[in-house]
Amino acid sequence: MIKETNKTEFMFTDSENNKLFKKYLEGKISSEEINIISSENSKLLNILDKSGKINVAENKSEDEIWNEISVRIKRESQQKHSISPLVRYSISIAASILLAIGILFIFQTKDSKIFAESGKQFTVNLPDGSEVILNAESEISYNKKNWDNNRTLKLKGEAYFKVKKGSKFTVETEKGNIQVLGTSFNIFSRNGKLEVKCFTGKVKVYNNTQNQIITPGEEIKLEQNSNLKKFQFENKQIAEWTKGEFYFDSADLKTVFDEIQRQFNVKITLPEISGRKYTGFFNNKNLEQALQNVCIPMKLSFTIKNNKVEVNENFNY
Amino acid sequence: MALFGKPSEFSEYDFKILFEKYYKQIKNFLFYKSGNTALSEDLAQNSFLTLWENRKSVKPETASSYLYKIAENLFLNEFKHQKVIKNFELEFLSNNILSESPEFILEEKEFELKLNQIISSIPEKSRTVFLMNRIDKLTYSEIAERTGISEKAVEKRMQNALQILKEFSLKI
Repeated sequence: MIKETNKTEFMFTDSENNKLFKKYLEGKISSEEINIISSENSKLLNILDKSGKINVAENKSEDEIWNEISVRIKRESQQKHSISPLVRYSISIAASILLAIGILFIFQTKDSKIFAESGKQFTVNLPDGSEVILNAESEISYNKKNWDNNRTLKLKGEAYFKVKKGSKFTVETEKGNIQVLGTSFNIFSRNGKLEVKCFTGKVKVYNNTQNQIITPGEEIKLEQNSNLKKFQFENKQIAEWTKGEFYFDSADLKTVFDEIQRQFNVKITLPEISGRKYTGFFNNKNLEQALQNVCIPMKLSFTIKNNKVEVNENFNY
Repeated sequence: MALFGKPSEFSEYDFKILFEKYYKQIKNFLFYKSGNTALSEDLAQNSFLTLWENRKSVKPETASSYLYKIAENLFLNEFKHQKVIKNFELEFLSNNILSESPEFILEEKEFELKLNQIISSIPEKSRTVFLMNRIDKLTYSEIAERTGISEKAVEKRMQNALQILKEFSLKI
């Protein structure tokens, strides 16, 4: 074995051999050249091929990372308008030209965006009197000027809708669209999930392949195979989160902590909890109380430092 | 607004294009160094945010090597005081595993486990170059351009990795 090791050391300092391996690794080798190296290196070549078929694991998808980046750069550009004098000059010229063409047209086509930050919830009144309650870290965008002709808006995150009767009202989300005439319903659209609950009236949920109609007390959940499946849910009054209460029925524990992060604007570090389910509720008035509600039954402990929370396994309860 | 800006300055659109082109590779680059998925994603995201903040002083043509430079610095800062994970968790993709016998699959799994160990044991710099070539399919000169080292140095690091793998191949 030792002798062989010496031999291989010689191999990779041999420049002819090196050239061939470089060609092999760059996929530029001819079949005659492969024959030269493969006789002595068949196992190594197998290893090199195998190494090319490694899948690098992902926690967050590329889209999620991009969304986080774009939220941050948009917030930054709203905060400061650092425009160089040259650009400002160009803008003023451009503006007068645009004015001549009809600047109103430009504004008409621009969408209004409303974003509820972490730790905030608020109500948006749409031009027709319909109401949207936005949960923390959620965004809607819609065209104000054209609203009467086209009641369509885009949603990222979670929101509760009370829609005034009128023409059709459409909500577009990443994983499917929701259409109604006049009704109230809740949409949860985060991390590739989509859940729609109907409270009054009728709600149509559709994506590229399917189309489902739900009535009060019914709920649609998007399944892994992008099936839209119908369920019943209990509390039909109003989405509890709009009153600051969050109920979970064997929900992924991770999504529960995600919601706490959004409601209290804190950063939570978690132990390994994948696959664990939580049934219960928390209120968004008091962080410690909320963490207790979730952690105690799940045999977890927590420490709060400023706006950081560390959750750990604990068997002392 | 790009229309009115200085010719070299890049727009949000250019930035998105850069992100689509390089995000995965920057994240992978950080993973080859650290073996930590969540951390590589965080640092890759921060690299892009840093690029965006400094877009006025970075030319689009040099943005890729700039991104790798930031990523490397962020990695070094992160690991100034702690050791890099010793054992990577690499997932190997198999082509037609269903048509194979259980014995073969078992052997294959064992082999993957050992290969995983041996790749983890390659020194960081050589491992990074090696995996950039194997997984991201980059040529020696592309690796040199992005990481800012000479092509000769890429060759040296690759030889080092090949040497380790050759020795491994003789033992299995």
